[in-house]
Amino acid sequence: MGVPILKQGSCLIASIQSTLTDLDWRDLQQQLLERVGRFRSRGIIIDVTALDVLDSFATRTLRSIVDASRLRGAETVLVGIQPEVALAMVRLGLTARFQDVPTALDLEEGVVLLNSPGPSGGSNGRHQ
Amino acid sequence: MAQDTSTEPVAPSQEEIEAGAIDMRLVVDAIRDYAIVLLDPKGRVISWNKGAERLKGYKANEIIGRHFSTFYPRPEVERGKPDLELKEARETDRFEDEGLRVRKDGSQFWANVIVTALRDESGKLLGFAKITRDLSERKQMEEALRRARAESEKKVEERTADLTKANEAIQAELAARKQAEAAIRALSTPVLPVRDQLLILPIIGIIDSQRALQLTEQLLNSIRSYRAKAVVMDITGVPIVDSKVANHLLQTVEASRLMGASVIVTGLSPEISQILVRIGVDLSRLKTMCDLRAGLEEAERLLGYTVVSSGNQAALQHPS
Repeated sequence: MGVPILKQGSCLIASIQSTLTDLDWRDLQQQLLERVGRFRSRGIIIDVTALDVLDSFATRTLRSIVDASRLRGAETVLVGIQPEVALAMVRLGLTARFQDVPTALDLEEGVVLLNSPGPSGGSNGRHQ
Repeated sequence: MAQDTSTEPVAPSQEEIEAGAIDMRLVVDAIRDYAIVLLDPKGRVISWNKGAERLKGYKANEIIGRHFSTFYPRPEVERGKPDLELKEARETDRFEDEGLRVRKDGSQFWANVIVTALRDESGKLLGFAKITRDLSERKQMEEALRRARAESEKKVEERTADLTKANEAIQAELAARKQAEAAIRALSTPVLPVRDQLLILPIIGIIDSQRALQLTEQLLNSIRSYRAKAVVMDITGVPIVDSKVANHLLQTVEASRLMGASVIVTGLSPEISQILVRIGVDLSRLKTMCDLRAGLEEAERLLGYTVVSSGNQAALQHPS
């Protein structure tokens, strides 16, 4: 089940609608990286609002998307992590994986974050 | 029925001595613990030993020739019990019974009775041997035991009822207390929106794991509702911070960050600061300011707020 990836200017927006299998995650990673190259995107927003679970495989894949796209010149912002998911990740000790990944409450905030210049507002991990 | 033959127990005759029957006779006669009695085929007493005399009260000369139903309580005689027993002994050669028997003085006692048919070589019925044992003592002990057991069971029941009641009372109080605690917890960690995108969370009191969890849930939900980007968490009112509590606070901070909100922790006392350093908590991930005011100012700066005095101070003393 493919994740729809929209292009908005120099941004790619991937909105995950439902729980993904391991295969789906792998597929998403491939699609995003391919498009970053094709459209020379500068930013990626991955929206996980619809997910009530982010397991260890999901977090690992997200991590490698962030790293790989950075190598190709694009910054990734994670948006829409729900309170329960945040709590679970903290309890499972998975938060370290996203220490330097910018996060935002939802898509709207994520776009603002991407477009805002360097060291202002929000929770851009590098400024903590 | 009763023929009074007034015979004392006979001394053994010469032939009997020679036949060796003397030994059994002496034995039977001497035994005092069991009533050993001979009945003729019709059920009349033809011999009586010391045990029988002791047990039932009759002397030999008073009872020999009388029917053995004399020993039965009247209602049973009327029901025909003695005859039935005799009949069964006749047919199966042996009959055993436990029941009430009557003494000469009218008193009753509990007895175990075995009636055995006596036959000659040709099978002809010669009479019956009746052995009776007094079970009174045993019956008394059984009764005493039963009563003691019933009493102790009653005591156990009462005690159990008491304990059950006490337990219910304790459970009720525990439930009430739990409810009160939950209410206190809900009230004691208010999340306050003070500016657009800015929340304040003043924590007062001891933080245990349960409270920390509740606190975190409340904060994360508020971050979502108010779309907050910054949170000032003030722990001035938290008396004790050990490594467990420090971890709880760190987790709250991390979880908030995952939702796009920065947390500034304020109000660490000098003691708590030293404790945190000594414990070795990873402070690089923690943003702190010395007090609420400083925390607020920093949060505002992060959000892009600038506070400027307009120069016009409203008349604060009088309501306008």
